[in-house]
Amino acid sequence: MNPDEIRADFLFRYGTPRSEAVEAGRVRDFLLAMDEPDPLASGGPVPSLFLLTLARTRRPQPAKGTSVNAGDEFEFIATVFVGDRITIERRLCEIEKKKGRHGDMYLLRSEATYVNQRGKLVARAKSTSLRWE
Amino acid sequence: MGVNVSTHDDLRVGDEIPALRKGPVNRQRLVEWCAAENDYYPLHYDERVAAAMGLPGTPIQGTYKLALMGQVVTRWLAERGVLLGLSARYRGPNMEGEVLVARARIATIEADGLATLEVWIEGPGGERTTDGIASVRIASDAPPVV
Repeated sequence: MNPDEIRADFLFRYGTPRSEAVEAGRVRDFLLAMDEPDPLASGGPVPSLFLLTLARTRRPQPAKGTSVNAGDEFEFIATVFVGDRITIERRLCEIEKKKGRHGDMYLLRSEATYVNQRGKLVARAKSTSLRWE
Repeated sequence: MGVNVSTHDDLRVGDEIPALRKGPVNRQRLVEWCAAENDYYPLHYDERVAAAMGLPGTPIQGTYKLALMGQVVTRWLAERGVLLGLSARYRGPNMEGEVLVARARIATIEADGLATLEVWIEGPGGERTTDGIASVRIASDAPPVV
């Protein structure tokens, strides 16, 4: 892949803001996967890191490995509750070409904002990944 | 009436908080995490995909390690504070079947309760595979964090 194709793929996956409901069942799945009890009552606060599960790629997925996650960073600004609707907007900030052992690879830096249904910014995130095909 | 204790007086830079041990992190857990984070990148459950990348097994998701780094801090904080931020750098992979240990130690602490912790994940050999920083605010009228 070249930078233009990487940018096009990023826009395909994240180019449009995505709005997702914070559903109790999904929060429960997150807590169970973390070996936490399920203390959620309807309308209760959710763990801050639950936000990492929003606006992710369920499908389509590549048939082979094409990237690895290099870093994540979250800033939590306001509490999120079951029943909230969060809009996630992601922006590709930089594509940096790197020399890898098996050829060229690209370091991608992106940023995301998480805004609730009242328009309040609840979190910001930065992500870094390595991509080679 | 209870006695308010200044929490941060009980904390020292360099103090390590209770570690969190997870695993062995098996394939079932990796698939469970795919469902939890709603991302089914096949690298994490298909060994053919992992082998094509030169990996000896399916790697544990970085976001799972990020979540463990958050969990070790929030379990320590319990009701006495809040997590304001968390970062992670994935320096090396951890493979299916490994036991992970999340550790953290206090890096800075201010009089107003704002603190940072150095947080990291250790693999089975004690090597650090992921490191980062957690920012927290500890309530001034909270009981001591132990």
